[in-house]
Amino acid sequence: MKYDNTNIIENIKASKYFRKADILIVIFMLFMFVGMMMLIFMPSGEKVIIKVNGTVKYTYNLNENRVINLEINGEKNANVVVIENGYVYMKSATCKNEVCVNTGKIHRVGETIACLPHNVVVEIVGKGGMDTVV
Amino acid sequence: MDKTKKKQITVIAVTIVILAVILGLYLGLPVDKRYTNIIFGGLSMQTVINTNITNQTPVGNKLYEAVTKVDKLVNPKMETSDIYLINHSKVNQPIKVDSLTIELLEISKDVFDRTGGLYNPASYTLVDIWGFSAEKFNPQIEHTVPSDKDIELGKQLAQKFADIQFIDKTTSAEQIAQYKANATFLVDKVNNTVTRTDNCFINNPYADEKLGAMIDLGGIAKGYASELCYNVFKGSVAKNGLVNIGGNVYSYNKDWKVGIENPFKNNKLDNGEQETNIFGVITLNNLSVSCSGVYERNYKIGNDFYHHIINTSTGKPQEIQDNSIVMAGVIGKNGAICDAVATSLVLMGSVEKVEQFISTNYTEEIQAVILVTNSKQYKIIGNIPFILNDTELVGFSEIK
Repeated sequence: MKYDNTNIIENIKASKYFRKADILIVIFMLFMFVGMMMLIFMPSGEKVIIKVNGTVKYTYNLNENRVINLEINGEKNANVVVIENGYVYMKSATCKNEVCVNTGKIHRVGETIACLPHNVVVEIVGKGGMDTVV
Repeated sequence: MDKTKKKQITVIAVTIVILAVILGLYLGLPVDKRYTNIIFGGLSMQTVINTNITNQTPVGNKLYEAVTKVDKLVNPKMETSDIYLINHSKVNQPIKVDSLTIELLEISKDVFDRTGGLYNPASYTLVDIWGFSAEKFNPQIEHTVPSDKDIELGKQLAQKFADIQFIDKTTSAEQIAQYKANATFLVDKVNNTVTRTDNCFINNPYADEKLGAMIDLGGIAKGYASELCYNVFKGSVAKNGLVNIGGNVYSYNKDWKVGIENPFKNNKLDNGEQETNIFGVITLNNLSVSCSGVYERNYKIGNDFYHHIINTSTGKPQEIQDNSIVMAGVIGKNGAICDAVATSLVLMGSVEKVEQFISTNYTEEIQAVILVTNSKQYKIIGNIPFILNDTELVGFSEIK
């Protein structure tokens, strides 16, 4: 193998000791490492609360994927809430206007999806992390 | 295994090791060498727990020093403290004190005057006969209501603080003579002494020796100490920090989130569940907060509820009715003043009275006040980022 200084990349590609695959593996390991560190050190995520008739009935973590079937006034699956990949949306509802379904996906603290006919509100709330308590 | 595979494994292994070493070195650095997010605090000045910094580090060392210094001077249980020596001094016996003690007495007198005597460090005897002093307090033991005679004695002694006088190098000889005749506590800033004159004593119905008024700076010392710690942070290489001394918090250089306890957290709700711990969260940056509440120290005798915030005019714990303030939080730049004022706000009794007081007093030193009443109404006076814990609190409503 001839090593030509003007064609280093070609040489790396062709070289026995530093294949393209090696670089990819290193990059992959870096991503894994960063991901691991983030999991360990980043604070736990926000919460999704579901209020029925004004009172909080259910609380979930935003980072846990889930499908929630709400029974309102004896009607099963009156509202179906989906938590998916950090987003929340109303998958389906038996109310007439379906404004809640058309609200789309929310994911920021303070955002809400409201189904007024059923008196259901889905809200994203802060994790409430405190540094100290007095 | 062929050469390239070996090479690949080596590359991976070396990468992991290098990254791990770098991370380890960074995390292994003591917090004050990383210079960020230093938290220093504890239940009291004697117990420093919940801290991520040891006194072996430059910043940690100075923080511990600051808190220990204040404690050594004001701790009424420590027989070598300035306060203990003053409280056990004989008539006209000058006690040599640290200038820090004198400063605390001066601030105390100022707050005493401005709150119309509601903040009163000479309430020590009253606090003691009701069983709430540091030495005595034990919620488990059986309590009895102190006698009217004892309450009357406590009230008289508390009143003595009104006539504390300060002598400095500008005080004329005539003035000094007058003070010596009329004052109760004589604070000599030239010689750094505190003396209890004859006026500071009353007859003791129980013994031959007279009873002298006693001082407790517990209502101001922790706030003062927290500000000393803030100054340590400011003068150090720390990028930011937070100190919490027994509920007196000072935040340095970052938006620190400080949770405020629900004053009703020890109660059970109608559905049998325990009330939630947190009332709300404030965001503090280069500010101090001090909270005072009736539910901090209390006991019951039968169905009657007694708490530690004693009203020196009645000689009894502040009466709590539906609209009475049960918790007051004071936010501002002066740690000592926030601490001293917090208790006096509970003694003002009503939200209206506090609003009136705050609008004309300490407009510079106090930035915001948080009040909670016995009927779970709350009010925020002034400006502070505040998030109510409304997802978990039950029955609270805001007074607009």
